[in-house]
Amino acid sequence: METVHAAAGSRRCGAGRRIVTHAWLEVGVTGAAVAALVVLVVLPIASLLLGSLTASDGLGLEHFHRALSSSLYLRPLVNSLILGSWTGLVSLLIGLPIAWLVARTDIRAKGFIRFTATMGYLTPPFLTSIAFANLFGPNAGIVNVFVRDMLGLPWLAFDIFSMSGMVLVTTLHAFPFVYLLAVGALQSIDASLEESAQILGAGRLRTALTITLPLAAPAILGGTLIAFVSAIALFGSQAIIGLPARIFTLPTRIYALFQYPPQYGLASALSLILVTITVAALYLQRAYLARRAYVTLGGQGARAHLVPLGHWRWPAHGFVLLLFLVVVAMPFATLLAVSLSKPWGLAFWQHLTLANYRFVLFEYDVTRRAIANGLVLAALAATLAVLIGAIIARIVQRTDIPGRWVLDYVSLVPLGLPGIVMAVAVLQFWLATPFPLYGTLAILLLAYVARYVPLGVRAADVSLRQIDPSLEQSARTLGASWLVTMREIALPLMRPGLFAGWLLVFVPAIQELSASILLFSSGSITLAVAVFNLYESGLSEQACALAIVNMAIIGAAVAVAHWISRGGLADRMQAVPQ
Amino acid sequence: MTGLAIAGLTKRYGGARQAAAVDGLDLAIGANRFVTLLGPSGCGKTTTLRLIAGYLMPDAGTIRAGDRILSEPGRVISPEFRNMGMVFQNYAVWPHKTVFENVVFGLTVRRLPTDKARERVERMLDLVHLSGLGGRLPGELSGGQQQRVALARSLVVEPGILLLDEPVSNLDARLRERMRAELKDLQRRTGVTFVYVTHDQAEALALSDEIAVLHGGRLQQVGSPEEVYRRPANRIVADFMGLLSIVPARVLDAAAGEVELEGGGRIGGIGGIAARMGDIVDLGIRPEDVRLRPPDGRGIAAEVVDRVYLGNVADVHLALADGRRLRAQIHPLDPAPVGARVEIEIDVRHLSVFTRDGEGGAP
Repeated sequence: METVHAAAGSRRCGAGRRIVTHAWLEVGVTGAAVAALVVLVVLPIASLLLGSLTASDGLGLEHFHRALSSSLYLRPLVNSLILGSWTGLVSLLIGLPIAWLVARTDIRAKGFIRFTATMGYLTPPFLTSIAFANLFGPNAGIVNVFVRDMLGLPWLAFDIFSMSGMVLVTTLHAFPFVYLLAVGALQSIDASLEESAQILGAGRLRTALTITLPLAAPAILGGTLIAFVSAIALFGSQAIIGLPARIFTLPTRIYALFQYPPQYGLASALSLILVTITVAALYLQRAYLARRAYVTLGGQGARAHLVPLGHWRWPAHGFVLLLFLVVVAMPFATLLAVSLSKPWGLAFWQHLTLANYRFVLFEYDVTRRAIANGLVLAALAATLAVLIGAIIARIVQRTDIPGRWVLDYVSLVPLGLPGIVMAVAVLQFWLATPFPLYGTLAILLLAYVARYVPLGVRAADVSLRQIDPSLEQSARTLGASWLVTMREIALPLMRPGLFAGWLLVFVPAIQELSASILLFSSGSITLAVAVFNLYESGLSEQACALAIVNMAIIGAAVAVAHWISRGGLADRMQAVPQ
Repeated sequence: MTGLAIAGLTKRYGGARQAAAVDGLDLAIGANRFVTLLGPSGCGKTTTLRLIAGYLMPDAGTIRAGDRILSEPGRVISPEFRNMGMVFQNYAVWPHKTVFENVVFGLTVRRLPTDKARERVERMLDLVHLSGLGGRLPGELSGGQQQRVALARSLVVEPGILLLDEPVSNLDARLRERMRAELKDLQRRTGVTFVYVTHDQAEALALSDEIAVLHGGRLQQVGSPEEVYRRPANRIVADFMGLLSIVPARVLDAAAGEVELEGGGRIGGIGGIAARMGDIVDLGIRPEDVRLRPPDGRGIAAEVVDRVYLGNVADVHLALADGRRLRAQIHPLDPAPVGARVEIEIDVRHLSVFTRDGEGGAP
């Protein structure tokens, strides 16, 4: 007995020593993560707040007062709300039916619907806007030219430069949020909940209205709110569609405030108003979902009744095909056609050329630099976001460090910040420091990492959850140090998940426009900014060629991600306001 | 009230090549009876229940209630028109409706006037000991309480038949026993025909008027709990209904019921052996029928190789002379330490004799 005690005692001592060194390492790593979050997120937001309150004589609400009293700024606020609401509503009207088709009917085009929704989500809305402007521009849009000049039916023309045009373009990007959340909810409702209603005498419609719909409602509403948030946060489509129509929204108004002598205070105040809206919507979504997430209650919800569509499959197929045409075929065909034409117009096919590609890829140094910058920035941002995300997710899930929930919470804050707001915040903060970062790639990188840290945390969180702590504990029990356990057990197990997370950051980062538009200089111009600038300077054909290059990069990244996660990408798609 | 007649019922999942989940089932379910479908998982019992409910269409056979055909290939009366109730294993209580709203649902569908419906719901909640909890959401209830909500919801519409799919298997042991008693009591008081699915033979024995044992999609035996336990129709049923040791023996005299164990030792007085002299048969011996006594040369010799204390009984593993194992249950205070040489005596009233062609026989 004596010896056993002694052995146990000495082992405990050994473990105690190890815990001490482990704690030092952990404190160091945790400290680095906290410092990164403070510099990336907390301080910029603080200076945004401070900037909005800095009045001519000390602190005051001067900027807010101006922002909320002049129609110059109130009108954009109202426009943003109108745009968000309509987009949310139309996204619901498109996303819910196709979610139902996929989850609950025997329609055979399920892969096709999933593809269409994924493409809608992946296509940068400013590219869709450029495509639609080339089709439905009031004067030169070829569809309008066709119906006006060839058919002689001017009343058939559709002016894309309008609020309805903006809603249309935004919806094509936003409806997948409703679809994804709704399809998940509909698939996970346990069939027995509906069967119970049926055997008690309720017909199919009554069961759908009293059981299925209320159970899926939180998810559906959540998806609609995310569609709303992402709609009002997008800068590119609002600039490309809205500005020619003189419809200002909050992001484009904030952008305009930087054109002349920049008005930081007012821009900060407007940014905070925009953030208030997005955060309120996201909070509503989270609170509502958390309180009423019944869907998980059922558990084994594998069984689901598939409704036979019968002859209804024809209108269903028609709807899906129309959606595909508008979401995928029209924008891509247009971008491709414009990029290949000498002058874009009704007779573009008579003068096909690769000159635009030669121009953007080889001849024009600005676009060449933009491509290189874009790739480097996206790769670096993805690496850093995933690295920081992995550390934070680990701390939150696997340690008992007090206050770790703050870390979790702060890391999610950027989800509520539209890109342009993040840019205003980062700009304000770094201009106030002695570091001359303005106009460099570094400030863009800082803004990107801050924006996409939530994605990194989420990806690491998901892959950590799939690794039972006992796997690591058994390594520790066998005497492995924290470092060895990380190297031999934790990291190899997390690697596929982290790589998927890396691509999930890379894809939005390569098409980032909302923040870059305020932060770039001619030396640090990025891919998306170059597309935007080419288009704005009237070089539509060249802009489209660069857009196709952009899409090719995204396509390659997604193909790799798809190949790695075998179709799991859609599950990991997360709502990030642009 | 309502009985069911099931004839030739067959259901395959997947193609026609696939083994049938239910294969040519014939079963009469008498009105006001408590009938249990018993079998291991995958035996087809839940499929049978879902066929009865009308969620599935049979590939062959019919289900009738009186002269009304409920199900046949190509034509199934939808669940909502069958006047049945169903209690699911996971209860399937609607999480977004209060207890009251859950229970009143079927009455609302039947367009009962509000005050009358309220009265019936109150009465039913009282019956399942949930009075006063009508305003609660299911998330605030325990598993046992959710179970009662599911029962009340099904019974309040006064169904002709109530189908129960392993309704107590998610409860802890203590609660399970209490719910069993309550279920039996409810069935007696309401007079509703209960069709109950379980894999737990003790539950089936305790609850049922009649047990239908299923295995591999086929009906093995139907009978009262005592019949099924004491006179299993075949080895599958015998094996499933509680512990059973199989010991081979040679028939010495079929008429006198005398056999000799392969490792030595004779047993006499077994009734109804359907085998000839010299045939090898398998004896199915239940542990409670084996008695131990000190060796005196007249009984069958055995050695205690293991002894497991179970509280109310001790489970004793015996090795016969040829090494065959036999289990016995003895009083926990009876002495039979591991290594002890004993002799055993077998109560032949419960003994099952199986011939080697697979058919069974009983005394």
